[in-house]
Amino acid sequence: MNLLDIVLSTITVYLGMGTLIGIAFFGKGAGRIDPAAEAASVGFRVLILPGSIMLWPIVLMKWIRA
Amino acid sequence: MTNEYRVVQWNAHKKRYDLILISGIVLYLTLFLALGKVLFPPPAEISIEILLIRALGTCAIILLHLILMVGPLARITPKINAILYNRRHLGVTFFIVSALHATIVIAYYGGFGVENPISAVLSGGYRSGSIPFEFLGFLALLIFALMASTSHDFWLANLSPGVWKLMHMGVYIAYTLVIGHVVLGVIASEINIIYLVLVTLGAVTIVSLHLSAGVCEIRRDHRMISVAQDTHWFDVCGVDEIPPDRAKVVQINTDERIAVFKHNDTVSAISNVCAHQNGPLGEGKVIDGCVTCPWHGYQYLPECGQSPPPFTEKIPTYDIRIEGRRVLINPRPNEPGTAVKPAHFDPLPEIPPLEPIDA
Repeated sequence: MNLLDIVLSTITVYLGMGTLIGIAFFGKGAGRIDPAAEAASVGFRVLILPGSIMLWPIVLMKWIRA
Repeated sequence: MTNEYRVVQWNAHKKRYDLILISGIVLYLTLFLALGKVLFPPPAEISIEILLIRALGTCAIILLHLILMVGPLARITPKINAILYNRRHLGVTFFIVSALHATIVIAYYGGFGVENPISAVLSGGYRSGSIPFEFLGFLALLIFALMASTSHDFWLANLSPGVWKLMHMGVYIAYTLVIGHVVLGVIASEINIIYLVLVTLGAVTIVSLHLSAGVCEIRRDHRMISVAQDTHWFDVCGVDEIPPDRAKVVQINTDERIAVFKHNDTVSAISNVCAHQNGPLGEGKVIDGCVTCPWHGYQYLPECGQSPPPFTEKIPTYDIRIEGRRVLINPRPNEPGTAVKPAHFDPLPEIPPLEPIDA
């Protein structure tokens, strides 16, 4: 496995984890860490999904602490 | 403002702004494509895909320069605040244009998904043997993607303003990468030198504006009121120096700046720093009885520094009184949201118009 394959695999795993956590956060997590997001619309949740995928380690940490 | 998040916080002003922005982009792209076809007729014609890549790329660079110019310009002249107020929409629109540019590049050069785009970019670009300028553009796009996807107030509130601001300062790293992407791209592709000249002019403008804004800020700070520490009340200005429903920003010693607002024959003193993104409240005005931040329209009641219900933002207030027609302030900040009775002053008597003198 060369360096390029390692980088590509790392990116794939990171984004894959992000997608799983992001989707879960989309449903329940956002309202848990921020009460103002509890009754927010689907549009709002879709809007924060890319950020949740990219920043999933921070999102997960905040969710666990909430 | 924090209450319940909405997808986009549109109002009439922002809708008008967005309409002008989108119309401008459509007009630019149309003109670029039309001129490209007229100026390069067959047999030297440029394919529509290449023209579109260049149109979107140049459009994105113009938008990026506008975004980077707005901040320092607003420090130099408050007339720019109207654009600053909506810079976030400008930023997200810029990202969409940049992403479209990258998507067409990937589709056109990468055989519409035949080649993994990340693999192609990391292994040296789409043209073997040439300078891999695509890699710089890819890195910049990643930073812009992070910024665009965290532009909503939800992220500002949950990442904390400090972290959010730091993350969004990444625009300067991304800008440097974009400059490298364009310069190396021009060298690699031998396209018109005019792109190099324009991007250099743009970079010089951005640096000069930031330096000028810095000089303006330093000059303002030098005008701060220096007084002995054992005094509690400081004479900061005359009532008549403050325009109605506006503020005068003062700084006592090296403390935080204070915005002294005049509204309905009273004056109130609050922190000059907005709780949202540290916007300069003193450059805003009183609208519907609320001090309104010029950056994103966050509002505070001047008498207590709290956002009107149901919003919950709070900023520090300052004790204030009037002597004669002079405004005196205690520079020790009260806890954010502390009510302070506004100081009342008598309005100047209206001077009746002069009678014409008969000859």
